[in-house]
Amino acid sequence: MKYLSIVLMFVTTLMLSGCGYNRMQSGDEEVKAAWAEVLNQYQRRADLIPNLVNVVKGYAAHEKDTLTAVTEARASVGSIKATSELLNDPQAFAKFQAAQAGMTSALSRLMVVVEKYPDLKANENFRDLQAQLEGTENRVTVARNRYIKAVQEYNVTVRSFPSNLTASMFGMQVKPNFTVENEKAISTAPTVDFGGNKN
Amino acid sequence: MKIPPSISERKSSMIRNLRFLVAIIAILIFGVASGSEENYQKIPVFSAHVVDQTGWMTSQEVLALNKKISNIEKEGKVRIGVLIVSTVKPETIEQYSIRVAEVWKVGQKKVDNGLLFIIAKEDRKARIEVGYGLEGAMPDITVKRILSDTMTPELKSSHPYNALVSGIDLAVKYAINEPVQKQKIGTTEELSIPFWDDLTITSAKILVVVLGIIGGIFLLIGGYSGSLPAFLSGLGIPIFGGVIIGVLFFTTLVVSIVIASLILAVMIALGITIGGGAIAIGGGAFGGGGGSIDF
Repeated sequence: MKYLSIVLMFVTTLMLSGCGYNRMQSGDEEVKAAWAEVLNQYQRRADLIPNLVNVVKGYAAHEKDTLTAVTEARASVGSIKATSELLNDPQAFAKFQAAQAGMTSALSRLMVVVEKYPDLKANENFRDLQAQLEGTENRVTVARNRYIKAVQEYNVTVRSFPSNLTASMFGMQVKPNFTVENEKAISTAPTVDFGGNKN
Repeated sequence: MKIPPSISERKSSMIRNLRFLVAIIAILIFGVASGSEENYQKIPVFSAHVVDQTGWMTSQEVLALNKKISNIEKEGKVRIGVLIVSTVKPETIEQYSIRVAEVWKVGQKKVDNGLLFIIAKEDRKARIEVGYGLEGAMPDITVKRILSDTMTPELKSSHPYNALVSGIDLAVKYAINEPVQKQKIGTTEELSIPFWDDLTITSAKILVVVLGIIGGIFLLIGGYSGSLPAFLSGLGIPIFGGVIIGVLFFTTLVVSIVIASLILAVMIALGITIGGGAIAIGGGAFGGGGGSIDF
């Protein structure tokens, strides 16, 4: 009879984890939707690159290295198949994140180099592209932040007791999240010394 | 030889300890639940179309601008919010602006036809945040042009009213020229039921744990003293707790909907809305589109 109350406690706890299942399903959908938006915005950024490279080439042909870096970064981003399947494969996810981070740093280096060319900066096309690029980078940031939030909520559900029992019953796993270490490295723009101090 | 303490004495000390335990649990939960952000600027309440925290515009100008926006919104194509703060540091204006957009929710739900003008007076930065539904009519290039060509000169010469009037006029021209696009993926939601699910579930969990502990202890007492009543009560409490939890489980969704509606009704009556103000409940979603400028 003593065990009956233990069994009852266990049963009532499991009933609570039934709630967790529904929460996990809606959390999963949120994560998928947020991820789709992240991919959307990254694609939008990649689409801006060819025009950008062309315009800059017209004024700053010497900066071949920087321009090549941007083109190569775009190629490596394009070579990864960006789908929701990435969420189920942590290694592929990490590769994707690294490729996008490479794109970001190549672009920021390009924008620093562009500062040396006032004609380029004044060019109408370039200004438009720059506005589009800034807007897209902001959209990427917003989409990433929303994805991070959605994944955190989902992962907490998957890992908390007692919903983690339900999670393992149905084979639900934690979803990958963007790591912060890369963020620091790529968000500090590289400083360029134009040699003003040397005389 | 020690006289073993009577059952009632043991019970009362047990109950005292349990009260202590429950208090600790409550403190932990509420303590953990509250967290504060670093010194981010607060988001003002969306109490009117134009919120000027710096007094950069005179009260007549604010009144006139409010009226202008009301008339524009009567046309039904665009919703507009204007916020002037003195600084957004330590955030960038983009970071602050999207936070405001997610709280103010300018624009109609599902249509997302909101425009949010934000000026940081001391930082000398201005931004227009464009709702999802207007991104087609107002791409980033357009927004940048409105900011730099139309608004910046006036802002530079400290005429925010003129800047906003001409900026809003131009923006509305673009916004109503094209049909408003369908909503894309937006993640700003109104009062979301899962929050109440969490609260109910958490309190239910606490209840189960506490009742289980009480029940288990009574079981121990009952088993030790061999007295039937204590044993039965040890059994009864988990059963009773189980019934409560079962009722809570099945009615969680209904209960949370009822609670949420009641609270929403009260808030509407008091003129408060989730993230809104005396302004009509918006619900417009933003995706980070728009543009910023230094002036």
